[in-house]
Amino acid sequence: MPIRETIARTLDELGAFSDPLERLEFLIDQARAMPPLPDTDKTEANRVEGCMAQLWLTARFADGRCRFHSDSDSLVVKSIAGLLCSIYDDATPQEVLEFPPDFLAEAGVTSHLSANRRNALTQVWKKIRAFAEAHR
Amino acid sequence: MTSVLPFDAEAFRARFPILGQPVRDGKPLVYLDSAATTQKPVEVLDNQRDYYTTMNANVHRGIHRLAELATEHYENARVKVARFIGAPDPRSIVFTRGTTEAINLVAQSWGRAHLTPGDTVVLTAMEHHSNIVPWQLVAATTGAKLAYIPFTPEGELDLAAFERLMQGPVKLVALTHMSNVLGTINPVESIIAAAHRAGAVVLVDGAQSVPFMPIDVAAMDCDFLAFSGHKMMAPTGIGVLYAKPALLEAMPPFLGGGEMISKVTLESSTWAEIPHKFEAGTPNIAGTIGLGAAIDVYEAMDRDGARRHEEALTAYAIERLMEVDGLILRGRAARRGGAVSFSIAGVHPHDIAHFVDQDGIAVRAGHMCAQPLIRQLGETALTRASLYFYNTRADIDALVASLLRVKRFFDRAP
Repeated sequence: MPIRETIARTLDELGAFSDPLERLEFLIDQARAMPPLPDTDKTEANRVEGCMAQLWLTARFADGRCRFHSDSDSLVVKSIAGLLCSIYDDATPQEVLEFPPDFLAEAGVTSHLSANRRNALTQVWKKIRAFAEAHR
Repeated sequence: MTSVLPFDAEAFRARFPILGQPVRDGKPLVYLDSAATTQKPVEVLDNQRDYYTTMNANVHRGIHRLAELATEHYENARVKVARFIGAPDPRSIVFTRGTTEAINLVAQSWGRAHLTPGDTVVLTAMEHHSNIVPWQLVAATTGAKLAYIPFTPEGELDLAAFERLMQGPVKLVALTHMSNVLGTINPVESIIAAAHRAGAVVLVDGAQSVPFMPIDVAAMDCDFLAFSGHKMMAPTGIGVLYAKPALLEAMPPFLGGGEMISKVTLESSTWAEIPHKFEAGTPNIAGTIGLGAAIDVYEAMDRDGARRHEEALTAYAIERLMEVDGLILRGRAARRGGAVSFSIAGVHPHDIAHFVDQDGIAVRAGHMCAQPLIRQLGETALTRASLYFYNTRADIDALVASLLRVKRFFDRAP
């Protein structure tokens, strides 16, 4: 699916919740359905720093597209990181760089998150962006 | 002597304006993070306003009336602190930014002057980072070694292991009086006596204990006691190092600058008398006077009654928390204070804190600045509810109800 459509669908889904807690619960349910990272991928190199919980992100590049997968021992963190991964997974590096996740804040999706959780989101985005830049 | 009314938690709570403040869409604030910092009563808030509206000036050097007033109140706070902890001589009270700076002062001043290669500093495995890292720093520069008293699964110090450690060349024992994670109150009196018999000096980290229980440094016979004002109703940025005057006299300055000198030439300087030798620069005057105001609140209250209230509330909290299926209490020491840490199977501590925060409940989650302790428990983080005299059963009931909701949410099938 082109990234524009992924973003539009994500915003539609999340915009359906007027209660931030219900929206978070929806994201957590999605996170719980995501397959966990294998332990062999939970390495220091894949660690996302700046988050109080343990958070890992793997990035792979195949057939001109980026593949992102994340995991955390905190379901809230996993749900936030997973949201970003689901948006940018299967996108081209160009698409990743063209659509930074500012639209999430603009849509109010991240407004209920604590500063620490927003920081986790920023750190995940930095890793995703760096990976896309390296494969542009 | 004025009579003191029996402690009444509701009446005491009413003196803390912030506790009446709604949070999260009008939900009442349930503040269970007092081991991190306590809230401030009207007496301290008014004091801070009064200070800045009636006497703000720099201390010690001024000739004018305001400087005189500020100096009088600043030094009077020192007298109050000395009386509060049973120190016979106010010169034994050094004002610092907090417990951390007080311990760093001892490590950098006493430690560098006394520790040599091969000496041992004995700590415990339940210390806050502020009583580990300063000693690691000084050990790296002096060649001293660090050794740790382990703790049992109940969260009590292994005193037999301590006795064995004291067979070695121990120069200093530094330990927490009350664990900020486990709540354990350590038997500091017997540890101090044993350390003294072995010729070691003892530093007690009183950050959690001084706010909670009466302390008498003369009876306890500790050489150093460090604590923070902000955990006992005073403003942030003010703390205390108590030290036996003879030790302070012999210690070199920690920081150099104004206020701490007697005479300065271009070549060298001589130092002011204690405690001023250790208070370089303009001190936290408002904070110090605020600490004095907080001590006034302690001295005007039924402290035994307040402590009994907190002990009963801690027991109630533990009993009610056990209603949450899968909750594991961390720390079951026989003598304990109101820091209650726990984990819940299948729910990350940060997620617990996040969800109870949605209900207006403030708890702490993480390593609580005690990573070695948390690691020994086999965890990466814990959730902690910590109590103070203004908490009531209603706060505990709100926490348990919220935890039960969290548990239901995480337990349901995705």
